Amino acid sequence: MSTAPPITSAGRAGLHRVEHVMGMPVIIDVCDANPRTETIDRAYAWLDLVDRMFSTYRPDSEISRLNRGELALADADPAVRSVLARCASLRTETDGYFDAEACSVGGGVDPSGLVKGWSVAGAARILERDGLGNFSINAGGDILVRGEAPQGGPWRVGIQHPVVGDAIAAVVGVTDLGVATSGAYERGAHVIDPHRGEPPEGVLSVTVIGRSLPTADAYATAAFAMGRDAAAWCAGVDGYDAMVITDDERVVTTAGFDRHRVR
Amino acid sequence: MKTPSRTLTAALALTTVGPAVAATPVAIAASSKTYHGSAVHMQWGTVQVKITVSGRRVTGISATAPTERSRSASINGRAVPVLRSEALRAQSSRINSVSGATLTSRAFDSSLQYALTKAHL
Repeated sequence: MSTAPPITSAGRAGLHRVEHVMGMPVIIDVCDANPRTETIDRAYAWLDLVDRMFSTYRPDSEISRLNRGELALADADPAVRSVLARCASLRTETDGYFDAEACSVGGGVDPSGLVKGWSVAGAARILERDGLGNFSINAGGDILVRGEAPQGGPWRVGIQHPVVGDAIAAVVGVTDLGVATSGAYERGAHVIDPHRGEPPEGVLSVTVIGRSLPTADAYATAAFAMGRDAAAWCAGVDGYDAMVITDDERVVTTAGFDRHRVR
Repeated sequence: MKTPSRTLTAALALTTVGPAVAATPVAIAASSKTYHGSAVHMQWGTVQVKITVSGRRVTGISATAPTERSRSASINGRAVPVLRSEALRAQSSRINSVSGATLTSRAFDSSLQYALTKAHL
């Protein structure tokens, strides 16, 4: 897939492109007329740069070098220090359920849970700096939208059903927001309750909507790790709305989430 | 660690939505095309997604239901009809993107999002 050319849909103003970066598909949809290819190239190049700096799968990334003790935190790139500082504050905000250290398989630190959303927010700023105001970026299921969708009005985002691959549990209409979903339904994407060291129980997926995609993503991860307490915790978070699907088939939403809900 | 009680749910301004009505069959137009991915292994079993597209509308979605484990079967026995109907209603109003737990490149190849991308929706 990585060598496949970008998929561009004909007959639609704007642009639709899919590339594989950071080990996942990243879809950029632009609705502004005639976006420059170079702008989109730079957004993807930025995502690749972030991956080179942060990936725990790359032995030469700054994170890998930090974890091996070859790089001191004080000497790390300011972006690395900034992201790790935000991870620490999110850990406090979420009562320890978003834990960039507990997530790491081989010890050390793994800020992957924040880096994806953070890198997408950076890519969005690149598009905005070049005058684009109506676009969507979907990085492996985490979505940032700005302005209007191709059909006009809010972007319609389907929330994947956690049990069946063909189903959508809900549709939200969103603009200028981030949408992130955490769940255990994909093999290899396990979330562990850092307090118990085991997967959470009672919850199948958590979707969080809010102004900042990286924060929404971290909150979704944290709430999912809380298991049965996910909905109650989400209800107490200011400025972010959530939908929790429990393993007894209930769909629990915060009051704010329903304002976004189309279906 | 327990589910919030009804009183607590109300106090926290949460809404609990019950199961939706059963799925309604959707007629497939003669000009429709199908797009599908290879089987994907998920926590509950193996699923293969197939969508049917007529013009620019998704008119049908199907998937093999996970059957690997008895627990999966019991969950899906209830959840599949409910959420399949939700999915079809969603498609009839068209969606731009799908939010889900982190898709790896490999998983993406088999995902609903990929089927939609291939169909240029």
